[in-house]
Amino acid sequence: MSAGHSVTFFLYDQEGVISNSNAINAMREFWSEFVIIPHKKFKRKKTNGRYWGIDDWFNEDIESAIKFLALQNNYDAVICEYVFLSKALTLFDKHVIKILNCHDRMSNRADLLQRNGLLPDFFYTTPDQEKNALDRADLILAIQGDEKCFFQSITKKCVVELGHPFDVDIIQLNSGQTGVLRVGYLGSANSLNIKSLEVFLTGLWNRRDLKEKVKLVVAGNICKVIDDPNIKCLGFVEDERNFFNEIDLFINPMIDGTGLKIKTLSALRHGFPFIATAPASIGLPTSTPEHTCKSVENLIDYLEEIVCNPQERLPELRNASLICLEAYKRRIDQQINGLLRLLSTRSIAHLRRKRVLLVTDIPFWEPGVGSHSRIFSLYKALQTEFDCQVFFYGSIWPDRLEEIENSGLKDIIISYKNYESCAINVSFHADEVASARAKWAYHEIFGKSLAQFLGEQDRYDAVIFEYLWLAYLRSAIPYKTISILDTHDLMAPREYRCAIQGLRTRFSISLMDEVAILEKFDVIIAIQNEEASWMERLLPSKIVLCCPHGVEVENETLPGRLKLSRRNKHFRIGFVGGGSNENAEAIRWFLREIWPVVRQLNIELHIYGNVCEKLRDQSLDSDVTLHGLLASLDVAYAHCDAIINPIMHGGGLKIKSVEAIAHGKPLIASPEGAVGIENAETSGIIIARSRGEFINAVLRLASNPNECDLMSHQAISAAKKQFSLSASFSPLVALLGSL
Amino acid sequence: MKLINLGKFGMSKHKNDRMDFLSAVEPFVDFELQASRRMFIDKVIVARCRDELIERLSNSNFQDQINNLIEIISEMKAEMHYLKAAYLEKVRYSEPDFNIAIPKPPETIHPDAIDIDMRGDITGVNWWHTEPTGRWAGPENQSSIQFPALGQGKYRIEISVVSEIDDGIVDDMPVKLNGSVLMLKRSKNGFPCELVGEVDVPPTYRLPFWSLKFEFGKLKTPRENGLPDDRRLAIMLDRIRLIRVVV
Repeated sequence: MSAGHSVTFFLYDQEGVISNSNAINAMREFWSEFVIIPHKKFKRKKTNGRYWGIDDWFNEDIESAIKFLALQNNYDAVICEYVFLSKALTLFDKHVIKILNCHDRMSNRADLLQRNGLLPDFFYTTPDQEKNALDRADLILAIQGDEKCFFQSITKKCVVELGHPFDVDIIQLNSGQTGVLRVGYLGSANSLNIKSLEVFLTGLWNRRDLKEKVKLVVAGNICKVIDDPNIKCLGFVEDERNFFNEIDLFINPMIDGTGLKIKTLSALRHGFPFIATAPASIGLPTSTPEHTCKSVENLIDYLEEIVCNPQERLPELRNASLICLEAYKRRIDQQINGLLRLLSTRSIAHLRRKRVLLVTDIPFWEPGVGSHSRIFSLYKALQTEFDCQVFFYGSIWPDRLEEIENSGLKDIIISYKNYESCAINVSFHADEVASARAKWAYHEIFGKSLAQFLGEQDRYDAVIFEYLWLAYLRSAIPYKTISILDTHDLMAPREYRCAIQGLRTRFSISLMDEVAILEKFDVIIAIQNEEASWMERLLPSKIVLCCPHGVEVENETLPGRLKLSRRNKHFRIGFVGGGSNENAEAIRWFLREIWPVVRQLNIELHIYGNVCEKLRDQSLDSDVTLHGLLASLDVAYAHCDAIINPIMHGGGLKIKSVEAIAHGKPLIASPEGAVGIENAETSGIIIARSRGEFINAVLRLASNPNECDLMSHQAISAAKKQFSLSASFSPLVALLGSL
Repeated sequence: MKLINLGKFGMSKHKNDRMDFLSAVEPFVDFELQASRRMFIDKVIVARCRDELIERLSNSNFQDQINNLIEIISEMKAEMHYLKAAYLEKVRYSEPDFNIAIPKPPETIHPDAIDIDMRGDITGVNWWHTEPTGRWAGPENQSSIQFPALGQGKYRIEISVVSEIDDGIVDDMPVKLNGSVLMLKRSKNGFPCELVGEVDVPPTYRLPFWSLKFEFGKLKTPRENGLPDDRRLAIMLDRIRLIRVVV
């Protein structure tokens, strides 16, 4: 209201305020408009088993009153207090911004109370029911960071943190000359407060020395349940200052709980010294150990320390409170400003997570190599910061749906098939060069269904296309947004390298045409530095990001898997490859030229991935095993002592090489196999440039476990530095964050 | 001629009976002509060589016959040597080319200035379609422009503002470059005007792009001023220019 907004306060009087004419008058005076509906008493029924259904507390009388109000006033925004009244949001037009102020997380609240031996009270429900409430809002207000994260995990709607705002009112510290330390507690008589105080008192009375040096002062309705002559009970106090003037130190021994603890905030707003358990300080910007005690016993330990030296310790704690207060106030101001800006502009762009769409024809959640893991890594990097969805060119059948759900991608993967039938009459004109160069990938219905989908959804801030052959779909975006092409490889130079070796590539394109296609995008992603430099020179007006393949790097110092694999008497080397001609050529060369020499020792060769299909008709030694495609390559890497990559041509970055070093495996690679890995020779890689060097490298590693260990360490450290998920995709995450 | 009945391939005597018959029968006959031809040629060559040798040896004495035989055997050995050498050359191992030379990319050059025409193709979000005089920001409450990074150093920034949809939007509008708020001065009251300032981009900034963000405290539709336009607008920009300041 101080920002100039006119506010109708609609009170559903569950607490019987209507009988207090002073309170009614005060509210009538304060709000622009005040409407009160008496609470209609009736027996509530649980519709969700032993939990409340989300609308079980929403009575019909509220509904008709709100509908009437909504008709009378042209509201810009509506704020609903508590999830159990969220049905009210559904009664307003779609142009009204709907805000849900949650106060507390209600999911699993009953379990939390029962865990502490208390009967569930107030409102408690399940995450599914709470999600229904959240999905009714445009903006959800969480009272602290942990609850914001929880709400974000169950809804796609915009969630922001809004703490409890207060006026700062610093109280001077008391002189503390009474000989005993006056310790204060303030609270209502709810079950969790009572239980917390009981635990504290039990701990306190067990320490005889401490008991004599402490005087406990309690205020609030909790006094009604205290029957102990050693405790000074003030009862309900009109003015908090009267309570704080009676004490030297405030405590909050809360044993568990959700939300933000208003009583801790009471101490904070007065800059008062306090000690509290971690649950009592949730949501406060503090790392002071006395503010975040691990247990009530730990809190009493600190109390004992303070009692011994109050002259020094109390000013220290006062200072800690003031620092925390300053940070909290700054944060609250920022949060309030954000909310006010929303109300004045009726836009939540500054609060919401950016929306990103990934367009691909690769079922990356299924077993595969190279491109599969590249796209999955990209998705993982994006989903932590943004609302990311995937438009997938493929069908989804029951088995596939199960795999999608198992991969945590439920509601994330959207099949174009869902939009195909209604997209037939949508207009779509593909870019000529892009479609002509990828005729085998061009399908008009792909473009039409994407256009249809984008037309039905809220706007995406960025759309990322996977691979050059889907570049023609860029024309399907019906509005101005950031279009990004993840190239994986520069195709023209790749074709050049293959042509020198007499190999054909699936995608044939001249550099001029490739540049013409890339030029249409706002941002180009290169997979390695050299290609990024080329793109920067070829496309000086475009933003080029270098995002190498991101992997989750092995964390052990000497990977247990390495030790495990070495228990076997044979030295195991592995090759991982998809079904491309380049991979088949490379492993055939190895089998023909290297294997006959190195097999004389106790060495096994294990081959993984679709490349095995190209070797099925070849007669192989008993020490060569074709494993085919595995559900997870982790098993493959765990099984081998070293990995080879004798690839001769290609381009981009060799994902299998990156994954090998990320798994802490020594890698023997051709120069092409190590392209894109900086300082390969000190990154756990032996570069072999000829048959002789390959043979030497295999024999060297097979006979020298210490060298394998050293290379393993080097590999992990290099992978962490160059290819960790956060490092690899940080330029893209930064760019999307800057939109 | 007798009529042969071959099911549906029945033939009439009025047609070329012989050719029809062959074409009908051919798919069922295995003519191994290649093998017969090879065998015939082998026989002819062997017979010719035998005749030549008989001719060379028949009219000479014993010593000449020995000399002739030695010469013939020597020729055969030499021929076998050449054949073997050619075969070995064909199957000799050669290293694959592991080092295919691709030209190294030239050094990236960061320009000293950039001029963004807001009427052209821009990279950014929350901008309406271009108009002859510039481009409106909207419909959300923040707009951004991204462009390839310039080099580190000090730059003068000039933002040409054509108009604002409501009073005070430009004056209350934080503008951030790479996340830091810019101190901008307005060239004059009224519109069009320029927002001018200086910015120092430190060497610690390593991202390959720069980002300029505009935050609005108000949005309005022209319809609220009685015009038939429902777009939610903030400000209209004409161009943005960054020029390196030479120290």
